[in-house]
Amino acid sequence: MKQEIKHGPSFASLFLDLEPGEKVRTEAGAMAGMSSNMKISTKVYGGFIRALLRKLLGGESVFQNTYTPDGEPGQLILSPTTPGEIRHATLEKGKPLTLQASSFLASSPDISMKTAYGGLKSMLSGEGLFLLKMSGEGDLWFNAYGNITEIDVDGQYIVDTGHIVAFEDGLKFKVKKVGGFKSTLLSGEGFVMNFSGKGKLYIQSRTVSSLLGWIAPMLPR
Amino acid sequence: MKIEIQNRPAYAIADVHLEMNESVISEGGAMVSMTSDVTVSTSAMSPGGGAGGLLKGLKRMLTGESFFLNKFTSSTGGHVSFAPTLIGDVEHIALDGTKNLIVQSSSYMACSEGLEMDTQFGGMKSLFSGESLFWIKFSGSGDLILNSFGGIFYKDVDGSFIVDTGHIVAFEDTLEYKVKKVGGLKATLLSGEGLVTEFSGKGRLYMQTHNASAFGRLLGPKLPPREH
Amino acid sequence: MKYELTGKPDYALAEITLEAGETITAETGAMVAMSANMQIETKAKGGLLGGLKRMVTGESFFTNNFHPDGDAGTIKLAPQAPGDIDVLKLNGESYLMQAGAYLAHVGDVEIDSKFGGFKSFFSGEGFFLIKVSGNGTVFFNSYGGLKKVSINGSYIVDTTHIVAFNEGISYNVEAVGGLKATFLSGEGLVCRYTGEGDLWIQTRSGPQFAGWINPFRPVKKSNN
Repeated sequence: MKQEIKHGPSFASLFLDLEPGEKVRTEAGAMAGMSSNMKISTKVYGGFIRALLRKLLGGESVFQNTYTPDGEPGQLILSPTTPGEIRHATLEKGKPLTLQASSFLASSPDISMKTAYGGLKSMLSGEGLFLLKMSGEGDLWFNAYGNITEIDVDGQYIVDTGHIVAFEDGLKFKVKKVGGFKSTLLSGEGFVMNFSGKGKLYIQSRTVSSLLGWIAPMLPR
Repeated sequence: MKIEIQNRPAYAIADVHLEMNESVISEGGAMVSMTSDVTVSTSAMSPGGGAGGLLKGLKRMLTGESFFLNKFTSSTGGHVSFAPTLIGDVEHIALDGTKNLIVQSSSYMACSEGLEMDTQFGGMKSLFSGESLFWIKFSGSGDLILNSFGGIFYKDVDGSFIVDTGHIVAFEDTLEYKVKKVGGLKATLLSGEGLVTEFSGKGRLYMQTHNASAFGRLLGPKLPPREH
Repeated sequence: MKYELTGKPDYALAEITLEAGETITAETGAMVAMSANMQIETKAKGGLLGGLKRMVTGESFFTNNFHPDGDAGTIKLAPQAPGDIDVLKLNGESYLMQAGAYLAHVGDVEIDSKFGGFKSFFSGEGFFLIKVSGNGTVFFNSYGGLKKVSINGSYIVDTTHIVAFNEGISYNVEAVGGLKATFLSGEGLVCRYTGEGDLWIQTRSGPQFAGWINPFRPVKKSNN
């Protein structure tokens, strides 16, 4: 397999050249273009009930697609729904990566995906409710709305819940109020994720909910 | 006419420098700024088409493009800047009369006066794919300015290639296309891909990295409802 | 205070380092991430009246003040829309800004609203402009790319593409062409600037994006 992320960071798309027998699993609806010999199969991942909950509460898709070329090599072009950056990670045994649910773009077919729940407080914050714990060995591609900034946390660090993309296993987080009572209600920041431990944290420079908040006053009635 | 594309690729705009008494035609609403010698006239005309403009204007309305086109004319030599509605790139394509280009209706931004512009129906199946039904066919020689949602790239098709309809910007009319199911029944219904467009033959296909209607469908339901 | 603008121009972020005793004032909701020693305080800037005036300009009623506790601290700020960030260093000058262009400031900066002229009411843009003046650093943002135009003479800009300009330039909001062009061209109203000074325009328009997204909204169910 040959991979190339093109048009990044703002409009990143993933271009994959697959050999016969090679497979890649993708988020539903991510295919932008492909050779006409690519075969597609559609399945539920991460457990049906959890996938359904993810769909109902997080708006993520229940289904994922697996692509493989038939007979000869084939090309697959994948694009996330939101414009932004794509990152590749090589997962190793015992080194899982946790993704915000909408950040999953594609992976090797045998990477396991477990839906994790961000807790009641993250539900109240209206964002980042579902997390996907990706583990196993192989390739993983994840995407963000806007640019991705990597932060090496050693100690504590605070991130707005909507800006989280992914984090390594050495980090734990707690959802907490941003400040006093007044700031929590009126600051527009609400709940934040307080990370602690040691590991890499990936954040995105924009959020879909801010985009919606910005455009709402300009909408016609 | 000199065309300069700035702020590429994310927020590209086209600066069109006009000679004295030269004009440029654009889609309604695309003007950002201009020198004060430039005047605007609005009509249901087609570039190079002259008479019969109204019918073409009506057809263009069906393509989702604005019914009216604006003609910007400089009296002393000046410039006009044009921007698309969505974030993304802008591409200048010079047509020399040997090849015709079929453009997805929302990818058209501006062109020189000499080009002939006609609308084409996309076929029944594209109705179900939820993508734009109409294409604009450009012929003749002149400058064409297109915009994309996201980055723009091309693929020289020789044989066949499948694309999600929402990622098509334009293609040379030497290519044949048909709308088809992405796979079996289950994949077609549940994959999120549904119907796709298969191109065959030999010619250049321009694609955009992102799908505008998919982005619209992601944001729309999260916005407050509209009155009608 | 030290700052770095990263991710320019596509998805710019303002990354700011504050020493103990320094404070940054930011638009609500702009905080992306910060060191764990940063403290937040939410205020109606200028009291109730100031807060109300801010609402008229399309800004939020409240602003947040951030300051580090003990040591120096860092904070990353982002605007809501995809686009660029730039900085104005004020030494007594004043600038006018389109509603929504203000992101944050450090120093002795006064933020006020200014009547933008009657016609701008019809262009679908805010009735008021924001006036920034004083001494300090102002972070402002655009939807799309930022383009600086040095005006010497006259220049015409679509009202929805204006970001900021020197208070000294004179401007007039007017129709783009004749009556027909005004109603049918889709261009709406333009701003004609005359004089000398700097103008920043944005390469995308918010109201135009709002018009595009509109058909994707759900339709309100009627009761009759």
